[in-house]
Amino acid sequence: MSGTGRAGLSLRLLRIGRDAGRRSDAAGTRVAALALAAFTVALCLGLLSLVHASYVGKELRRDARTPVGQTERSRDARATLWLVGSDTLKGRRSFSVVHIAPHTPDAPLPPGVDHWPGPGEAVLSPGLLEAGAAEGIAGRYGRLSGTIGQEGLDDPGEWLAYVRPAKGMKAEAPIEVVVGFGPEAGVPAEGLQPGTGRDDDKPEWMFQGLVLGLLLVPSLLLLFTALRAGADGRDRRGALVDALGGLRRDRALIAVGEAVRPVAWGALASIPFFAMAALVDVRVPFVGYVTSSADVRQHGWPALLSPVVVMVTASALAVIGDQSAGRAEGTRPAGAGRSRRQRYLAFLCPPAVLLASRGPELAGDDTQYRAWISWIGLALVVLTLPAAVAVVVAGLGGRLERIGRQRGWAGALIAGRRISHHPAATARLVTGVTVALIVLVQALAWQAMFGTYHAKMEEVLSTTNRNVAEIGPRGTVSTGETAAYLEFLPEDHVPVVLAPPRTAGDGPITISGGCAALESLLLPCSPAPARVDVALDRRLQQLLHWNTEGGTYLKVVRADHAALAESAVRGANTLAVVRADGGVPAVAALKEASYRAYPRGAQVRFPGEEWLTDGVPDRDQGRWIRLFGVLGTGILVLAVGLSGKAEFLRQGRALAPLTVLTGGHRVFRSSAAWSIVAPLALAAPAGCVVAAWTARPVARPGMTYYVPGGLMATAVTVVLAVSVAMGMWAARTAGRQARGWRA
Amino acid sequence: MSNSDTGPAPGPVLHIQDLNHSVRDRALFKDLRLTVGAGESVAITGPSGSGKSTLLSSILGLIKPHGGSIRVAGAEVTELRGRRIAELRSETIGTVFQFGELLPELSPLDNVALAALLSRSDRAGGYRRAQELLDELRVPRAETTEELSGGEHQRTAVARALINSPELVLADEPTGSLDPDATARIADLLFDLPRRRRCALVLVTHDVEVAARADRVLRLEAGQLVPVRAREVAEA
Repeated sequence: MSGTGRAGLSLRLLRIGRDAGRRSDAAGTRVAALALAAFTVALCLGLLSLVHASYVGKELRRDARTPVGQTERSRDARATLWLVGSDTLKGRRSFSVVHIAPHTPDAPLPPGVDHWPGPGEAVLSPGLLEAGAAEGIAGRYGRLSGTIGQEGLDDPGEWLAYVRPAKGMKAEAPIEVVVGFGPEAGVPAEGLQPGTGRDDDKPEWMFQGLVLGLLLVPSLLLLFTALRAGADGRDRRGALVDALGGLRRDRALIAVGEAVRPVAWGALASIPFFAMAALVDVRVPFVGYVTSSADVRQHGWPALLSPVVVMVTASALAVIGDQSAGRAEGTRPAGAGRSRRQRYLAFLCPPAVLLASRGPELAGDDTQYRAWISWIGLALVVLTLPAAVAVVVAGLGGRLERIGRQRGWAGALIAGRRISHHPAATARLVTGVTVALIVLVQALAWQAMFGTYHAKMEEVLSTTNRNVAEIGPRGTVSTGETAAYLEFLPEDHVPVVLAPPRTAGDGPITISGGCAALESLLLPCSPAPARVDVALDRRLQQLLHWNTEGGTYLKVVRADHAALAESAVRGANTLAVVRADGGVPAVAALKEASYRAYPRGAQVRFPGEEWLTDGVPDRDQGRWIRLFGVLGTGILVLAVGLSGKAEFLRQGRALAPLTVLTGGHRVFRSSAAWSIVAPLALAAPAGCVVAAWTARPVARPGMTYYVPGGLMATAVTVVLAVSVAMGMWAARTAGRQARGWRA
Repeated sequence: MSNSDTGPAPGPVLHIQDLNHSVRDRALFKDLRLTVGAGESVAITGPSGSGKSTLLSSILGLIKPHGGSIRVAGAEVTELRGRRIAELRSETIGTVFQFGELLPELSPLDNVALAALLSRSDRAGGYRRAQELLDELRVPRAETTEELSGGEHQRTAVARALINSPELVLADEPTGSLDPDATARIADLLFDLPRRRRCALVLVTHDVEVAARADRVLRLEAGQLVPVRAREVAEA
């Protein structure tokens, strides 16, 4: 045959495949499922690209803004004074506040800052301005002089502030002299870079692993389910084409022709999303992270290839499924036999579960291999589970068939027969539910792992009275500056100074303050120092708990602002502010005042807050996991639903003639109950056990509550409810098809 | 590619020599022999499970027998693999399955033309010939084969078997699911083929009336094909 003829034949076979796809059993369901699966797989593949682009872009910008310290050779170069500090917004992660000042004329500016702010002015990132609006962040560090451009930020949502102190800066420790930024200016000085991203962000492999495990794997399962929807008819067609003398290539073309259009629609539908990500910065719902469109444009272009990759992958899967299933072995329609390969795969499932649950222990603690071994084990579980379930289901189906025959239960007989001879459809349902449970539990376990520290600290600090603010000035401060700070305190806010015992564990803890403060803390206010043995006020108790060691009693000293300022700057003493009426201190105002009084401001936080802040980045990472976990579970539920629908349509068609024999639809209900409700009802607890077991490696020592029993019980209940709903749906479908059946 | 204009290959169209095959320790064929020439029809009968359909599957190369030789139009089926066996099936053998085995999602025309396409014959010509055959066999035009009656279904299957002008037509219980009128019409159609198209016909059937119309009737018994005399057929 000539090349033109071959091309014509190929087109014709593709068209036959397309026509077959339109008219086959469950055609509408398969088309919708394929388009949706292709869309989600394309999005997930694109997401891998976008995540990589984000990490690359961030790293490049981080390098570009890392300062280059002054050396002997660059002593005469233009220079900037540089000091990195930090601040927090209430209950949120900490962020960098960099104090900068020109050291020479034409001093270099960090990337993203286009002009020098005047003394007492600050340049803030847009994300910080937005997030801190409620706390009046725009005026906290002085007058707002502008915003930091995206080229100077990790990501568009990063919180960062460059502050030029009103009183100037001196080139002495801890202040650094820097002569430029980024590799082009010299050797970057590690440790001086602004931003907390390098410490807070998880490694790229971990994030990509989440996308792979929680989103891509469920999407591929959805694709596989969609490709196999109505598989019996397709397998029969493959066998027939084989018997008629069709080549593998012919069958492949028909299979591709059937799948390629819905796959193309779905895959191409992902492009607008990538285009949007390339054109505008998108805020990710629930997580609040803002993507960088510039990164997508510069480094995320491989995302545009994902639709092509999906089309090729889906076509390849369609061809492989068709080639492996549809070999003719006789002139009669072949029964759906259980292949040897399926049995081998089934036998591999228990070792895979073992690898996922116990394998990471082999890698030792604190290595990334733990996670990889766990994920490889999970991938093997997902790959082998359908075969294992099919083998078990087929065995149970045979038993059900015998019971149905012995007891005269028509529904059990029909369902048992169908399950034992067509175990793949039931296996897909059960596998879908089990994998959905695995994804859900994995997501919960990972989120719990990330959020454990923060959750524990929240628990510990939940009893803390947060109505007291500790003031920790940055750097060395003078009595005059502290006195000024005390003058700037908002109305009704009163200071106290806590001094630890001179010798740890011995002598009194001294607390000084004005009468308003002392009386508010239920302390006496007398001209002479007073001894108090028991602190009655909760705020005072917290202050003592977090700030002093030892001390046998409290020595209460009445003091004015001048004496307090003098005492506050001494050694280990702690300056604290309370409201005289016992209310919540105005933390934002206290912070703002600190930047007016102190050269570099002050930390303002409630006792123990630093412990909570340390856990915030991990808590925020946990939100990604919850988001991905919920999406992944949703995709799998969709896969189960679509697979179920295709199977109901096929079952309904097969059972339709029974309506003539039985005159009623009772057999449809009992058959649906046995073939759908029963397997899913068994799958729910068994799936929970497998899911909980494979999530073991994520648990850290002592973390026993990562998969709450109540939640698992809820999951089982939900699956049972869903199975009953699906059973009713199946019975209804069969009944509807029976009414439309004609002999 | 072969067609009726070029005439059949020299020698017998089907020549089976010393065929042996067993399934689960049960011998289906024991040194089975069969030779069918061009223009000849052979009906094979026998009890269920005797191996009639397995014999057709072996001729098609779908089952590899444990021993012996099967030559179709001079080609040794048992030695052919991949593309070669596919070519033989599509160009030289036409098969009518018991239940037609049409693809329900395709139209009758597509079903018949598909066989022409798979044989790499002229594409436009394949569709034209398919329509001509369907018209000749009085199969109505339909969107899918599900719209056809049982007889029309089977006539479509016959059309598909004939589209590539095969030298050998195999029919596995072609009338098994039909009423007497439809059975008679399909039998007319099939047994007319060797005469009109000079092809060989091997037909497996339980229906003695259908079998009796063949040039030779053979019974598959104890793994061998035994001739059945006309009188025996009539008595049966």
